Amino acid sequence: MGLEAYVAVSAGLFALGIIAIIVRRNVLYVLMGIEMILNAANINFVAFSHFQGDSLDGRMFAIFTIILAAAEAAVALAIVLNVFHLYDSIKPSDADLLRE
Amino acid sequence: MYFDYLTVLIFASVGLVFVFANLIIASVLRPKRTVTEGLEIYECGEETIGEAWVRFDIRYYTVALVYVIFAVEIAFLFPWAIVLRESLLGEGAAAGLGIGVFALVEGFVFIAILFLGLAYVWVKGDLDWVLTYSAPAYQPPTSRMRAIPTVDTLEGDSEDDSEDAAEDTSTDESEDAA
Amino acid sequence: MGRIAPEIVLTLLSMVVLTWDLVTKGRDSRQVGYLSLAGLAIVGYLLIDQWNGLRNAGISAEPTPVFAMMTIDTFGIFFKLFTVGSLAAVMLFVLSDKRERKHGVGEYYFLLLGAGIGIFFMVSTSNLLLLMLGLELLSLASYSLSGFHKSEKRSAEASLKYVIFGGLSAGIMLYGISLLYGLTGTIDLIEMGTGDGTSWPVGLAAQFAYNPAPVAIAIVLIFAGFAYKVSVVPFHFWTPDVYEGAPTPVTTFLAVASKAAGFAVLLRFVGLLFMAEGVDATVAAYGDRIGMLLAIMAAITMTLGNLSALRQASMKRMLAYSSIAHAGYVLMGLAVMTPEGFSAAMYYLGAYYLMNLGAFGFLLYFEGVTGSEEIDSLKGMGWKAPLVSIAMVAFLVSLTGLPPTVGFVGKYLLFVQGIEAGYGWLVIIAALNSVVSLFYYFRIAKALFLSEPAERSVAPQPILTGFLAILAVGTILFGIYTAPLQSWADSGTASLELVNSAK
Repeated sequence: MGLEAYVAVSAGLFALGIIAIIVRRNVLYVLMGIEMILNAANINFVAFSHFQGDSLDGRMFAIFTIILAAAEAAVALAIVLNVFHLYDSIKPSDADLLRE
Repeated sequence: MYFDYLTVLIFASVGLVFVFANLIIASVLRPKRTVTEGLEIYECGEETIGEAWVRFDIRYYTVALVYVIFAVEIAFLFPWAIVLRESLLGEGAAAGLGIGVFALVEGFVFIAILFLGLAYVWVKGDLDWVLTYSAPAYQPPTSRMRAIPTVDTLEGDSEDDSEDAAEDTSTDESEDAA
Repeated sequence: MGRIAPEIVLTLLSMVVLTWDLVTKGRDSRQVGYLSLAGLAIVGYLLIDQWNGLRNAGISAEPTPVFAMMTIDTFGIFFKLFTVGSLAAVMLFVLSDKRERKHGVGEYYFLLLGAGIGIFFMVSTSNLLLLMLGLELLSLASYSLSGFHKSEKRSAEASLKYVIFGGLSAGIMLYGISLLYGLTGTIDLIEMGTGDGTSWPVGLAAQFAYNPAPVAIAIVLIFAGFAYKVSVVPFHFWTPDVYEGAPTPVTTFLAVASKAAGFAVLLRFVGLLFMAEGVDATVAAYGDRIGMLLAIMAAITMTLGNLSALRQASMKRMLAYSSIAHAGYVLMGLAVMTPEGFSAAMYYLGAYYLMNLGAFGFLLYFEGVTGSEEIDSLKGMGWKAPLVSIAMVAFLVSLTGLPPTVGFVGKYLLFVQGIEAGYGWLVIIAALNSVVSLFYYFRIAKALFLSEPAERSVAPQPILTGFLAILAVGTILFGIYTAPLQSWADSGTASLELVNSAK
């Protein structure tokens, strides 16, 4: 299987992530969309790394991306919890004190 | 050639033995409860039968978070361990780099930083199942949250329905274990 | 090891601060604050030592990077000193503010220092992995900090909006980096710029010939990440809300240190990819198109920022839009794609440090007095707190870009570079924008002094007053003696080894 297949999958995942962020009103789905984008990048990194000979940079990058995703999810969920305590909702559109 | 997979076989059999040995040992050691609540299916203190859309106890989040710290740490420690071995034994790709001792120290610095995180969680009381941390302005509305029973209130309450009772038992057990 | 001593000390400091807070059970968070300030002084001393070491050796960058990742150069040290200065100022804000002290537990300082570590790494690397990690460390600390007042609805909302926008743009940027890695076979910006296309890593040059569209997509995606960090249109939506909802010291940090760090990586990214010595001619030629893209973004950003700031009643929100507008001005210096333009952008960031820190300090001062962020609540306060108010007028003059202040010199340098590079239209837009900004900046001055003296008495806040006075003196002094800041900015730019890309 060629590199194209991997890049196509990752592009699809990236697009799905963006769609999830735009369409979904629930912040948890938005966070899942962000995770999908990060994983799309990860697929790219590993696939490119595999098809470009000895370059380990991509695989290294992928490991660090996993950490980034975990750390970001932890912080984001903590923030969502706090918003839920105060607003009794996890829809970003319900938290609307700050606006023009 | 088939010999290469011997390690897999050993690994699998040790895994199987581990699982069943633990089950058998547990069945010998655990107290025999004959009351109805004790026979309910036990699943981490949550009600097992009913709607899937229940609101889970917030304390699971803290535990999961602490777990994430140490689960993700492994992603770094595996490559580190391999490079360290190659470097210290002088074979493989990392042999000529001469980073053995440096990598060893770095690894422990990394782990030490992580343990500072664990110490932080510990001191802040997030490892205790009954939370000791309380901030006055931060009380959640009681209407929204299930009341978290303490051990004392459990003793007195008897007219609760079975779901609470099941949960009570599990809390009891975890308290006993602690 | 010794070459990354500032980073090591800063990391150790952050752990000591956290441990100290744990051991004392957060009884006295002021001690933690003083400890952090003392540690920052050591970091600052080490940085100045490094800077002088490089200057005395007659070089602008260490010849070999640390661990093949971190470049110790004057450009990085410029922004590291900038960061240390901002962190110290923000900590001073927290320490001097009674309301912040209520929340000002040890984590406040720990998170600020953590964000500082992130900035230290991201401004001193040409490696996209380390850059991304530094950026994320800064972002994660900023998310937590902007929601630091946990029981305040607005603070929680600010952090929610910040984390959603931040996560999205970090993801987009990471995807762009993965594409760029696939196209060039490297994650090092220098190798990307100088690769000759015959063997892996091929560099950008060959890919521009064969795959111009994917390269363009990758670079635009990466720009999305930077644009979010420096709040450039169309990635500015989070800025007013987060700046308004976050605690004021945190807003100060976001507006000053975080934004400057974003510009630092943007400068290095554009510089190393398109303008550095040894970059392939086809890539350098492509740089002009990037310059045009940046110029258009700059024009839209400053216009939108200024026009939106006009109709704000809240001073905090007004300053948020004003910081968007200033990001547009700094972007002018990048758009011209010359070393002199970059130097002007760095000068402007130095000016931005003085005047914006001052403006936010003033905001913090009067939040403590009136408990309100509305500009109307300042009416007649100028007579009650004259020293702070006069200092604020100096900051406002500088923010507008009028002489004899550092903001004027900064804008002048940017305009000159813009005209020389043939961006006359952009300079005209920027000049018109400065006129517009006069209206809203002087609404504050008008409220302060052109009203009946207020009834309310003002409790003295000596530390903050003194700090604001120093900043005001600096604003005017650097506006008259322009040489020091200019030479710092010039030697910072020198380490990027840029050549003229514009014709």
